[in-house]
Amino acid sequence: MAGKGMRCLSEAMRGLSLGAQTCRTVPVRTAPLISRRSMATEAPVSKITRSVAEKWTPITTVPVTVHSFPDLAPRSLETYSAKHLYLPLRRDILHLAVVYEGDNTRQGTAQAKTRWEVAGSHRKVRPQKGSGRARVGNKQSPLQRGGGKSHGPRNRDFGTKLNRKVYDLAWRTALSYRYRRGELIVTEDGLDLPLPEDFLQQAQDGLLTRELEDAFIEKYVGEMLGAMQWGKAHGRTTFITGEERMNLFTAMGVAGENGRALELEDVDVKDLLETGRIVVESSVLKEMIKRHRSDLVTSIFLPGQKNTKETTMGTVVYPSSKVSYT
Amino acid sequence: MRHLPRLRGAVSASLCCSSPTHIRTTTAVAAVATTSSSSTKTQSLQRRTLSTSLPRSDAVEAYTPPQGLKPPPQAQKAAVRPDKITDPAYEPAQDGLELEEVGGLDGWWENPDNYGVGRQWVGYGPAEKITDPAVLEVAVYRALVEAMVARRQMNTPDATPARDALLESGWGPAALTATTVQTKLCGGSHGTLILKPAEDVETATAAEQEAEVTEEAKEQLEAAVTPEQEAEVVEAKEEVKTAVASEQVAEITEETKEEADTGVASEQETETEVKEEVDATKDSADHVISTEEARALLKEIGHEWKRPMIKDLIYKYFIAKRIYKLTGHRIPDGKLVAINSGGVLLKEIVKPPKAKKLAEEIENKQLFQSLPNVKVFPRRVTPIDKEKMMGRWKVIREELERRGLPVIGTANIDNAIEKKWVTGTK
Repeated sequence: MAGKGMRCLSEAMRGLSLGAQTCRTVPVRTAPLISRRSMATEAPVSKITRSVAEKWTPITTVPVTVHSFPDLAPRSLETYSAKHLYLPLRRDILHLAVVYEGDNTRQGTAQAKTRWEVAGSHRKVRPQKGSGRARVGNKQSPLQRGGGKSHGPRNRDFGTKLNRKVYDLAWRTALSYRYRRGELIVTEDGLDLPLPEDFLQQAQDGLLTRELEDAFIEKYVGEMLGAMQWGKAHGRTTFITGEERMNLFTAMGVAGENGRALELEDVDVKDLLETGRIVVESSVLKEMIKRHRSDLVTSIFLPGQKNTKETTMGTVVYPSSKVSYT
Repeated sequence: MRHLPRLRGAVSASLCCSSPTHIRTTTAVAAVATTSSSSTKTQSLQRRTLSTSLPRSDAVEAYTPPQGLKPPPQAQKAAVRPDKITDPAYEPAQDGLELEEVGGLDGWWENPDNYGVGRQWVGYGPAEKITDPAVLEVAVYRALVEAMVARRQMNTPDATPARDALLESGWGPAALTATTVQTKLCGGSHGTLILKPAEDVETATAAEQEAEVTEEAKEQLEAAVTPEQEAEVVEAKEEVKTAVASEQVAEITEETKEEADTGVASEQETETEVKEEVDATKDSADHVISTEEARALLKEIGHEWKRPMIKDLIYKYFIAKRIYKLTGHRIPDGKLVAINSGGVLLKEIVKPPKAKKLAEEIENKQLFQSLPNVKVFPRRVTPIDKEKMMGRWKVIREELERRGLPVIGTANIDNAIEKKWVTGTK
């Protein structure tokens, strides 16, 4: 009895073994080596992988050359964290930010009168029965000419919400996008447009009419930005300054087809993505990043504890530092 | 109402960067505000052009202010009243269409006599980018050498003026390019780009060798660029300037005096001489090498410098600055990050700009040349184009003109009225 029981068990165990499973014992039919060939559409080996032995050192800082304006001579070199100006392009985040800004820019002041707001008497227009015509209540009815509007626009707030950290990331992504494409030109502080001395003198002396002044500025700025390859033919240029610079802002107002000038306060992500290039003062760039890095620095301050997440921003490398050549 | 002066003609922003007095108290942008009005009033009276940065010393020397702006005549001439006209042939016009348009200030600045001269933008680099690959390669090599020398001299404070002069200088005389190119670059012990040590020098360490080579190269370059030659050039320029100025003054006085013909002739002669002198100075100051010269130099340069790594950020910055000065190619910072060797740098600069249109791209790449049934047009092929290809357009045009019909478009002729009847639309 016991022997039979053991036999059953061993049979059962054999059934469970790998060899007993038919699907596993089916021999794989491998083609002979001679007939093997590479597929016609075989992709080349990608170069994105790297050797394990090679140390992975991602870029942590990126250089920013500060130019003088308008001759664009390189004057100094600053470094910014890659998290500020070298972020990967995230179109989804930029889209969120632009939509968010658009929503919050809507005035939402459209309003039509409902039947309860239309002025006038609420007398019944004609008797309910006997006239042979349709029954009518009062003349404010939406069906009547001059009546109220049913489901018309009402004053409302179209504003939507976006997490602050996402918005800040979008801002820096927009800057990074410009930076990577070489469309972010940083200038020394005090960015303004130099207009010719003789013209300014004549304008001040009242020798030129406003039309002539405008025509001159239009021609002058057009030629200047054209020579710099910054004008209309090259997608216009956005100048961003810390405060209103009269010459620059007046000139860009007149010669608007070649670009625009904005104060830092008026800039948003959409502005950074429009036009061919962004020309920004060094300190304004720093300020922009300072205002939009909530995802990089903590807002919780503990006494005696340093904010370890804070990264380098606008560190001047040249001409101040004395670093030996490596 | 207009506020005068609408255009602020005064503050040189760079001069007042150091004293930010316009501070917005409410926002953090205060730190960004850079101009002030009070401290610079005296400066504003003297200097009306607005510059955003301190003018470089060399820029000021080379700067000739734009001139010749001509305002419109201020005195207005009133037309004669119709009842005062004595001419019996005068017939008053019935409407404005018959009248000829005279005067007006439309396009006043389009006239070069009114607009003046010297208003074109002057950048840091040359006015036109160099596109010749051979010249570009020599320029890149020269930039690498000079930037390397400048970079090595960074920690020596007394070398600052020489370094700045080196970085800011143009092509210089032709011999300078040849001298620079003789300095060799190669890969160092860590695979980075260094100045190649001379083979016959027997020094103990690689560092010493390098230091020696750097010093040598620096001496060579300094001798070539500064200070004697520059001083000479500057002197020559000043001489020419004063000469021109004195000539101009003389010219004006002579004109008013109505001088004799002989005087004018001699004047012209001296003028041409001065011009020649200016050109000569210019040539000796900045000689952009020709393709043949570049090719000859390239044989000397070789390819050893293209592979070694370029890592140092300041070195890269110097290179970019030199290349912009020599060739007019501005290397954006975003690209500078990825540039890690001379070869990559060269490729980046030599690469022609991306075609704006597909047709241009196809033309540049010479695509579809072998396909007889494929033609590429830069724009849509219109029915008129087809007629032109066929050679029938001329005839059609003549016939249309003969019948008084519009050649292009429908003029004011509406669609066929029958169409409305058929479709039933209003």
